[in-house]
Amino acid sequence: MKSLNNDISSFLNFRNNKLDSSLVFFTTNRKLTVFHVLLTLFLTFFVVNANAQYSLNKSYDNIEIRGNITPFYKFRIYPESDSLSLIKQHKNIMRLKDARIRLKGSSMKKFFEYELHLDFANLIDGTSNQPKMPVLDGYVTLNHHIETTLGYTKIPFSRESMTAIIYSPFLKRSMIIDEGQSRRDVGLHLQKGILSDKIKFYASYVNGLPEISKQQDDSLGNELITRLEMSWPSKMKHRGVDVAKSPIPVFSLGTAYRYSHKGKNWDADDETIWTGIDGVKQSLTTDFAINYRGIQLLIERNHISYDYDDLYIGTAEIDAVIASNPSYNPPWPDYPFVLPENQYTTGYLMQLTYYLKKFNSVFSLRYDQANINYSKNSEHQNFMKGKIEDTFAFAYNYRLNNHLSVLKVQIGKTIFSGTDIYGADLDYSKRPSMLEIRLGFQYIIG
Amino acid sequence: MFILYNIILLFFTNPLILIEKKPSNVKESSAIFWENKNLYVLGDSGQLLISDNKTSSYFALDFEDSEGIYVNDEHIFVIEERSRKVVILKKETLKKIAEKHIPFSGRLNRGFEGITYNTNSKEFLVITEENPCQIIRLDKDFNVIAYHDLQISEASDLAFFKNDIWVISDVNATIYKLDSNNFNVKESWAINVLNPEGITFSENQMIVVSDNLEKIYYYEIPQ
Repeated sequence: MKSLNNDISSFLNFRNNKLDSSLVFFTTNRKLTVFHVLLTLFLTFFVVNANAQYSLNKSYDNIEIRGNITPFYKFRIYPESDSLSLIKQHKNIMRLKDARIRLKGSSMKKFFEYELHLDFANLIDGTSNQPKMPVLDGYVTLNHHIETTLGYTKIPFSRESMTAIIYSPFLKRSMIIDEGQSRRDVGLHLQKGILSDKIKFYASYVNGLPEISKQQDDSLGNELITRLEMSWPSKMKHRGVDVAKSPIPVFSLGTAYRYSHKGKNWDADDETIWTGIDGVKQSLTTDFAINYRGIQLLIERNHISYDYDDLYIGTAEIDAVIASNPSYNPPWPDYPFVLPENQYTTGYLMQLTYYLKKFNSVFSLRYDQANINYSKNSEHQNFMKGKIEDTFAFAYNYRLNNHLSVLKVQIGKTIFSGTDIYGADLDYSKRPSMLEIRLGFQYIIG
Repeated sequence: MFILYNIILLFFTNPLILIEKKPSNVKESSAIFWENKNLYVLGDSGQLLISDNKTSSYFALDFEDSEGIYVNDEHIFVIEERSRKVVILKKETLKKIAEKHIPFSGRLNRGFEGITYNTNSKEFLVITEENPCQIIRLDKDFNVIAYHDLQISEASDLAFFKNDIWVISDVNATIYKLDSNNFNVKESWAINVLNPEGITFSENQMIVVSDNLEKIYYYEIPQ
């Protein structure tokens, strides 16, 4: 401990001297000041890591430093004959998926637990010069009968979503989870396990916004998420691989419900799964998983319904005419309101994974479908079929050690079909199918 | 075909002979020790079972993350995983009389998993879970003598029995017998138990406890 303290102070002196000149540069550009501070923090912790210190103890106050770095190469193959291929075929890129550092700890014999989790890869955004939010988790938990968490963390709505990506055989989540709904949010999160955690209850009351915001939510309305998870014959952690090769079958069944009523559309276009709408958004998720002898089967269904509030578009002139002449026929039957059609999004996910321990290998097959923004009104063009994405994917992992240093390969083919109701590209089946290959390496710090 | 394969695997690769199993009724049973006809089972958050042939007594002790237990004539030694401590209790009263810090800077939840005592070398031995999986040799005052990297990748508990060190791994579902001088693996056996977290020996049985299932398994001692 003594040597660590010396190391940190000498390192900070060294690092501050080195960074003085860069500080001048960065402070001349306000957009990069945040980046500079975070970079300094990251480098501080990195050098602490280099000194082989990953955890610190002060009686029953403990803190650890972890993180992961995951670069990968992504390339896509489209049919040569398609005109869109000419646009998209040059989009093959190398990317930094994760550059994460995590401080996690507890005090008073775990009466308090906390986490600060940053992802520096989030600061890189090819479409904007604005820095993006690097916070993945920032919360404190009080453990007293019920785990009560305040802050920004994962929302408990789906087993796939609650499984950290480092424990998944894939580099990218299924469409319905990855882009379906916000997966993290700031607010109050409660958790309680009974019967040795074979039954777990979750509830979160959060902003219901797609990202952390300092602004008042002018759309009004928060989001409530509840989840019930039952496992048998023992609790089942949120992991994507049955590493322990369970000698007996272990099952888990979960169901989650989300509700929000807002006054504004978020992320709303025809192809997007909307985070929030001007109206009531409800979501029901059901998931089932089983682990047995290195095999894991995961099945999920996510269903979202959008019930729009009626739009008031009356005018004072027409109102005055109706008031003065009761026999006057309004311009349309529901005047002064327009009653938007409800829309729906449904997604499925099936994933079968096998851990071949002898060869340090993981094989996984996944099928997922997202049927985005469809209508149940047969008069509409998107009747029961909105924009549909079917993805068939295969993943192979080679585990270089037990510490999740993993070479990951993911091959996926996505086929588009269905229609939308408003846009110019009504028939999505005209889009070329996409073959995407991702090659990545995941290294865990800590 | 798959089921058949596993049945064959079970018959031909698992020579451990199960005698009986019982519920421990200790939440997250993570440590077990047999001493003088008494069986001690300790849970993650401090629930302690002391059982003899006739009675079972449960105690609620104040621990953070208790993962290993060793008992001698006068004291109970409990290892705290996250806080890197050995906590010493008076055996008769279960009162804490001392705690000793053992330096180890691995991940908090990949810390100490078990404690035992080598009666030949007069040293305490503590085992760490993984990354690295080590045995730490301690003198009678719990000063570190040495850290030894093991050939095995993950450990959940250890026991000293008949001049050998026995290590159980839940992730590998394996029991290892190690040479007590150089810690090399001498033999190993697959164990068909979900999440085995503790191992100890009575005079004629090997006893294993499952954390998730909260059950105690009694085996013939493998030869």
